[in-house]
Amino acid sequence: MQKRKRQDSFLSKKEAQVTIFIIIGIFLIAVLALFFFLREEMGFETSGGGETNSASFLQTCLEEKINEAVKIISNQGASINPFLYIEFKFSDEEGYTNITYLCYNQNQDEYCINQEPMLMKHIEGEIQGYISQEVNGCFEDLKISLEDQGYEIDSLNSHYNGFDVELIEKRIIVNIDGDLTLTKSEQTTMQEGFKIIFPSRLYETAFIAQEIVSQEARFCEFDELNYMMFNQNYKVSKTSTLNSTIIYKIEHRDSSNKFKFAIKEKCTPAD
Amino acid sequence: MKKNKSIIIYLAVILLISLTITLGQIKIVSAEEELYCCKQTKQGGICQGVSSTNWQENCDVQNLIEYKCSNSDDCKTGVCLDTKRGICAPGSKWKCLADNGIWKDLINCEEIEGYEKGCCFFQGKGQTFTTEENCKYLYKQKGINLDEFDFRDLPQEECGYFSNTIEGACVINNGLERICKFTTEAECHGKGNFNSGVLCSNPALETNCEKQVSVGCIDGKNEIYWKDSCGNSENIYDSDKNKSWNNGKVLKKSESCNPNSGNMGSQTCGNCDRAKSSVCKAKKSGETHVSDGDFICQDLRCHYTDQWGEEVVKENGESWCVYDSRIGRYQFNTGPNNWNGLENKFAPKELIRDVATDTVGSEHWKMFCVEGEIDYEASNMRDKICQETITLNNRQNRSKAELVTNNGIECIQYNEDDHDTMISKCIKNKQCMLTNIELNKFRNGYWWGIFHTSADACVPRYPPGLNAEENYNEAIDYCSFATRACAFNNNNDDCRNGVFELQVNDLCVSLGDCGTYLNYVGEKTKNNKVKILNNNAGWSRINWSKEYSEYENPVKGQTYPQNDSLFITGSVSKGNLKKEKNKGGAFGVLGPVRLEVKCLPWTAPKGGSNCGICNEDPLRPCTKYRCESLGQTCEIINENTDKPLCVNMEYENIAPIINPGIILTHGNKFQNIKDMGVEVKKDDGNCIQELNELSFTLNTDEYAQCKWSYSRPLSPDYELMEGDFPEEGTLFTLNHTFKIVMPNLESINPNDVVIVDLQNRYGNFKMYVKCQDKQSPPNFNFNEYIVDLCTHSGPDNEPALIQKFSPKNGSYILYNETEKNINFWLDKPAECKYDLTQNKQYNDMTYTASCETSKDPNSREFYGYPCETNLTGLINGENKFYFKCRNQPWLGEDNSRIINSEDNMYTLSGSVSELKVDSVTLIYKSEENIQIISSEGTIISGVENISAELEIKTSGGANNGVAICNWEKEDGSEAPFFETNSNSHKQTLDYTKGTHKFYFKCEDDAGNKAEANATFYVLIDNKPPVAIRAYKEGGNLKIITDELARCYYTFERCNFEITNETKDMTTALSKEHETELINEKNYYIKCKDAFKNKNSECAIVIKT
Repeated sequence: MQKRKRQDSFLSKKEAQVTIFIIIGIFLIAVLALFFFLREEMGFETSGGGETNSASFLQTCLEEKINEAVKIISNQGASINPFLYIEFKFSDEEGYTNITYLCYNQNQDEYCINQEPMLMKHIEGEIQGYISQEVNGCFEDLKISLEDQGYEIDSLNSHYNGFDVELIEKRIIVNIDGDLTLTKSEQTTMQEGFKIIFPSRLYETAFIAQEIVSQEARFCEFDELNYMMFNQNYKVSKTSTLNSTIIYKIEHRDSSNKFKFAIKEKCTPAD
Repeated sequence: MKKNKSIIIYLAVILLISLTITLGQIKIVSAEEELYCCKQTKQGGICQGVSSTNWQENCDVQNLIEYKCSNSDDCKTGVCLDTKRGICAPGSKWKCLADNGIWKDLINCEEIEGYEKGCCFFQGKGQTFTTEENCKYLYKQKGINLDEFDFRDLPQEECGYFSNTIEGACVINNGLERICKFTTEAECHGKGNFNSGVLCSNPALETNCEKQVSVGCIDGKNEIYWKDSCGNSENIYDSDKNKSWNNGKVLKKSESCNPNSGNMGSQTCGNCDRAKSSVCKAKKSGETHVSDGDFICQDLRCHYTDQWGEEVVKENGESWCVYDSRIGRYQFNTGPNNWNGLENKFAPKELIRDVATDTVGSEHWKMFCVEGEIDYEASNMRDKICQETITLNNRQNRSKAELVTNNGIECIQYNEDDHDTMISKCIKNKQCMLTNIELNKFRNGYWWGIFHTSADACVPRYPPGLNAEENYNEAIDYCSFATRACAFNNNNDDCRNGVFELQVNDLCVSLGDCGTYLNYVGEKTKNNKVKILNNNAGWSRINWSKEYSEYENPVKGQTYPQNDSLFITGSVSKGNLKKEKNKGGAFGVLGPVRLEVKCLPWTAPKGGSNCGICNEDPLRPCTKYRCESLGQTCEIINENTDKPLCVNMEYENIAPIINPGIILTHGNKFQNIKDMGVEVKKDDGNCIQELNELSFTLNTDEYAQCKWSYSRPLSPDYELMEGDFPEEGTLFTLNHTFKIVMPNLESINPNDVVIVDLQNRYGNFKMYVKCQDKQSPPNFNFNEYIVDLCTHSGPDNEPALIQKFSPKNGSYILYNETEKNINFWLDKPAECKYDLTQNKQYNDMTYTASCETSKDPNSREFYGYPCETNLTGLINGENKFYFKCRNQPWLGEDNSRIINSEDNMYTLSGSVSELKVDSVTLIYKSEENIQIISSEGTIISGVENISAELEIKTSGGANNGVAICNWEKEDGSEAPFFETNSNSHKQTLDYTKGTHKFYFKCEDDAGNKAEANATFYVLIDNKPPVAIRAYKEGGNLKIITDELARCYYTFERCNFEITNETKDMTTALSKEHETELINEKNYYIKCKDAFKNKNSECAIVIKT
């Protein structure tokens, strides 16, 4: 009886363990299923590198620099180093910022002239310039990291050929044109093309900025109130300063991502 | 009149510049100045206009284009296409091409196929308002198959609110359990089974999601929702759980609780509605919330207390006007018991007063309510006027405010027109008002103005602000428009009893920031000067402290445009100075004493005790203009921030130190400079000739206001000093300009008169100058600064010089004009003659001009001693006249009179032909075609409102057709062409269906006029093509439409969208359309005409 009892006890323990494993298994499967189901919404589709997870490495390596670039560009009106700008300070900011004029006319009674008709391309170029060294460095760091993991890198067949930056809705994509030939345990694999994705609202805010500039350049006015009525996720505010300058601030309500730029004009709007 | 005209134009231009001029290193070019174009300025500006004379300041030579930007190939503005992303924006050609864009010479991006904006739907993942090409780009980026491309021609408002999302439960069976996500069908596709309109908690789905475990807000939605245990949203929150759960099925918003309300603050219903000013928000500490969670329908309305202490509620998105003070015109009758500041027993029984009331430092504010917070937009020195309209929305009154451009300066320009035209234009323009000085009430009195000769004047109804501190010369000139003089016999005349003074100040105030008036907090300063010209004395009859009371308070219900009250001022054609003067005796027959009321720029009160008021209202923040209107020592700091501050400068107690500045008249210099005085003599140390002008400046070491007199002030107090202001008037400046005509010895009380011989006499006299600074109390010079002068009253050895011609030398005259009356002004009294032949002796010259020959300094006008003559025998070409003058006319035929050794040549260019309007065309560019029509022509469009360019061409006249042209429509709208002052005049206007009749008036520099009219018709084609015949020809199916069209077909159904993938029956717009005929197929055919009108169903269905 005692033995039986012990056996029952043993069995019940064993059954309980199996049950726990099954539950854990189901839970893991569910989590995985949910992850794949929801992954698109999370906005990370970084790819390239296969098992070695090179793309994730590059993403982590570049993240800080990209965020820095986005912050500067958003604050300074699409330029890392503004050329034609106004120095301005909002009360919730610590210091003055050089805000670029995206639409400008220094003369009397004339509509402003769009200074960056290819704004998205310009922003992509600004980001590219800002992170250029970092990308190269991260690619080199990746090689070192892979070597640390026991991979041999065939330097004759591994190249870094540069990269480009692409702005799209909710994302900034860095496409690195590079390839790596790796050997480990006599198995050789080749990795080429790394697509690194960073979540950002820069495309959307810049798109609105371009719309504002287009209307200011064409009609000498922009009805921000009307715009907000139909684009409720964004807040557009304008602050008039000296010298016929208006500072526009575009804010994505949910993420609080902001984009600021300036226009200068002194004109009579067409009725 | 011409004199007035040119001065007024000058003043208007100056004011325009002064109102808009800004500080900074960038050289600003006025619209009037000829511009070159700079591809990239030194400051980095792309395609900026630069001065044709000083372009080097802004532009490197390699970037200079010697045309206007709009005429240059590189800097012409068109549209720039980013074809990769399908984005289009306005831009200059070279910049666009430099950035690898594609540039097109168009005004509007929408004219390009694929770049019209519409609604881009992402297959259940929302939508965005963008171009068709950008939509394709986004599809590609999002990895959505272009076969599912869904771009619709919808306006932005419909796109914003549109939702094609049908949601339901997406159930994924992974073999172990049934996972559910509440989402759209598109998102569920390929991942699970979609159950449209069903909640995840519906037991029929056999998921483990329990219903209604929490509440919350959902991204992109306005309402509060129930959420299930899996985190999925359910239906709109209702404290009646069963009703909300709806048996596990989706419940429409309109069927949820209280659908007609925003449900702000409701604890039982989460049906928030942004259109009704509410949205789901997490509650803040202490706020109410719905019974089952920490969320609430937040009130997005704005609650505030208005300027009259009333609680006001504004809806989200509503905007309204706020004014700092009374605005616009105020007419009132002083009435017998309403004489305010005019305390005089001789005052008339009634007097209609008329003032444009906007106070100094005041602005027009557009306030708006955004998500429960009030934001603002403001005019800058009243360059905009706030207009508020009320519309009915959802049976509620909603206000909408707009800041419209203040074109008040045009009102001043109207005064250059003839009297009737001025009145007609002034009355028609709602931003102007017509004022007049009541001549009828002048007993024995006459009046005249220095610049304007009519009793009527057109002034801005909402006067723009004046930047007097920075542009004081322009400000002085501008305000002097209202400087007026009258003559009187005794103190009972309306000229002298204060009525005239009061009315001139009303006119002065109406110019904007001129005269004795108040700032927006109600502090008044005196800025006019009453002077009896003959004896330089004068005092005010008005107690100004009682005038313009409470104008600083806004008036409830005031907005723009304003309706006039009872006292509409009519045309008064009496008392025109020119008429009086032409009679030849205005100065002689008028009353013996002349009184002048000088209109000076407004100055802020001394000190800075009110500076802080500027910082009190966060919704109406301080600006430099507002701050400086509050006190002389108010100063703005943190200017380039969104929280500028107005502060009072630190007090000091040192009086301004006066020093000699510069001599402005040729041949004189400062001598014997001492601490408290200086001598001014001729370069050779001799005394200055009587009646010669002397002009010099004195400088102060701080901003100061100065006065001067020929006699030593009786009291040391600056305010008690009787005297005149320098040219800067009451303004506080560093340089103070003194302009005097050297008196003859009889007219002053000189000391130390030296008589050399019978003719040569010398006399010393002094100018006593005092200045005071901006402080309160002010620091002033206790001891006067003395300018020692000496005048020579003997023979004048310098010839008279012509200082100015009107019309100016080189002007054009009318075609076939044979005579022209001209005026010119001399630096000293003289007689003048002229001839058509060069180098004649004075006595041999044929013609004599009529000149002022009196020694009386009061005979001197603004530009000098006047002469006039009528030039005759003019031809249609160049007319040259040679003038010489002989000084000292009072000496008769004395040989000592000096004659100009050289001729002073004056040219008038006769117009070579009449000015003509050669052509009138209307150009309509649409995506499909360009229609160019002349008068009586018709434009056909597919849309109700079109935008077309009107162009007229002029020729002949004074300068090859260069003229300024105005257009006027039958509805009364009129304006100068947007591009004019050329021989081609262009204006883009919007046209609706119907007849559009235009009148055109052109005038060139010579005054040649040309008129034309034109009628255009706009027809709207909004009907789709009709298939009127279908038949088989050869192996093809052919159809005929009733108009030019393109036709498309599918074999499946009528309900298809025409896209690039749709089968095409037409290669170009045509009435005939054909395609291969396949048997046993149904051809569902749709057609689209040139104006994009397409059949909603099928144009025709062919069954084979």
